[in-house]
Amino acid sequence: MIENFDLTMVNWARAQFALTALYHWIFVPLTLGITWIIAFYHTIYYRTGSEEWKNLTRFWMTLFGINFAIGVATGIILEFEFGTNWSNYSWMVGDIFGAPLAIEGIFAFFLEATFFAVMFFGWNRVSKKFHLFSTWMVAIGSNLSAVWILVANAWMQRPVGQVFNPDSARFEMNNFAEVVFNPIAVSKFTHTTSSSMLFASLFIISISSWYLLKGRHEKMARRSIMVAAVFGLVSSAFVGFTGDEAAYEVAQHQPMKLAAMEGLYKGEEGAGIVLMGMVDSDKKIGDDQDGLSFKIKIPGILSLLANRSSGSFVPGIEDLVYGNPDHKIMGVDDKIVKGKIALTQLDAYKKASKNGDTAAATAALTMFQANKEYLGYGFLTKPEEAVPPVGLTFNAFHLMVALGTVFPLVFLAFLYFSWKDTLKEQKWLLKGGTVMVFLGLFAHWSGWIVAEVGRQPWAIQDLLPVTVARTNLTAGTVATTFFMFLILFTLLLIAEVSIMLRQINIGPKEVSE
Amino acid sequence: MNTFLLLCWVAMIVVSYQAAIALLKKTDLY
Repeated sequence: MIENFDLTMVNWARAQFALTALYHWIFVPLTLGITWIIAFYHTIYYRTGSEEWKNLTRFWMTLFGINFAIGVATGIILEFEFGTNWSNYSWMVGDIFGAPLAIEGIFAFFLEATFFAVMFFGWNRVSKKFHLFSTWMVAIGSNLSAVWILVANAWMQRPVGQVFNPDSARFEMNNFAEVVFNPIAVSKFTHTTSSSMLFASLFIISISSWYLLKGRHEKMARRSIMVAAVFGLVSSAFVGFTGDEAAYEVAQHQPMKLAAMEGLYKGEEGAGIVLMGMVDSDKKIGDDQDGLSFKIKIPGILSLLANRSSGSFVPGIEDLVYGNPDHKIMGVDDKIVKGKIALTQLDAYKKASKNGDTAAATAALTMFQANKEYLGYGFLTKPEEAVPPVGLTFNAFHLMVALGTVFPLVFLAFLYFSWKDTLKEQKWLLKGGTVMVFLGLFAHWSGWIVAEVGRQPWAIQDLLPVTVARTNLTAGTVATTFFMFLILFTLLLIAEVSIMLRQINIGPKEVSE
Repeated sequence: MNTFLLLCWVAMIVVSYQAAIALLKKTDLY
């Protein structure tokens, strides 16, 4: 079946989704994180009544408002792409996948958008108490939006709470609570929102560092940095904890992704985690070469992370592709056989049902049910197709972890010199601080690349490969819209950054003004 | 684990708030 598909179109559709998602993810983590910090600033203003805190709150609120608009625009385009480029996906799993997306729009986003208006335009128009309440509701609403989007994404990684309907050939939800409380959804939500708070802290530190270097708005910058460094330090500790939990879930339900993240081709007992390494681009699956041309490993840590036991076995890519009877791992070729049986029997069931042959339909359905968990493998032609791009997954994972290790040290340094009241003299730290927001963005992008590229070739893990999930379009059509979006998003980004830079240059209103 | 993670998430926000207020007061930035 797969050989009839134009793989180029799939790659363009994936590239278009990745482009939109990465643009979207410039704006979203800032929204998710900075709303909590703005709520904090606003609370201090409410308690103290200080005009200085009011101006500080309004300044960060303005930057958030500029950011918010384009986050919404790119998010809507992402949802439309499910219909335009991934219509088979929408048709096959829309009953399940559409539910959290609809809830996000109707429940969380409307809540967030309504209170956003009160927060932004409510100064001196509503009571101080209701205004503060609105700011808090924006933080809660935006994070509730993240809940539902991440529930949808977690379902792609581990499709729980569903049943395949052989009559309609669609997946249908049979347990809403299982979908919502999917452990991957919970670990994704906590990891994503805490790392967003970390990112927002870096954003505030970058801008405030620039003010201190320029000798402008110094008290406001010192206050902003003190709060951001605390939020950043606490959230970065939680990011490490939730990252460990997220990796454990990956190891349990997506072992191929974990093996790609670590460039592990041959499974090991007491497997070590790669501290530093480089992927060998000449490596072919099944040859005698190591997957990494050089590596520094810490023994036992990967086994501990994957199975909570430092001596346990972690399967490598070749164990998962070719099978490992000693560890009861079924190879992909066996799964392909079972998947093709499932597809053949599904076809036989439909024909028998149409002809009114109840006995044949029942027999076919029984065979289908016995093999349905391998349904997606029936669309693959050779075992090696089940392996994601190892180099990109490995490099993205290690970049994310490396940056995630640096950030708490940055927050600690800013906190220490703020405490000592000598931050203004630390020019080296302030200069480094101005670029921290970009490193935060790279860490976030890397995380999503690990999550999405590491899941390939699946749109829905083990059930639906991307080659089947797509719309029947030509590659040229999708390539055209890819470049249209690239130009549109770049113009939007230039517009946003220039408006934001102008606001930063103007700075917060000073009390004496 | 789900409940524990979500409770820790709430604790992250509460601890950040309390620590930030305490430090602002200590450094006369409140």
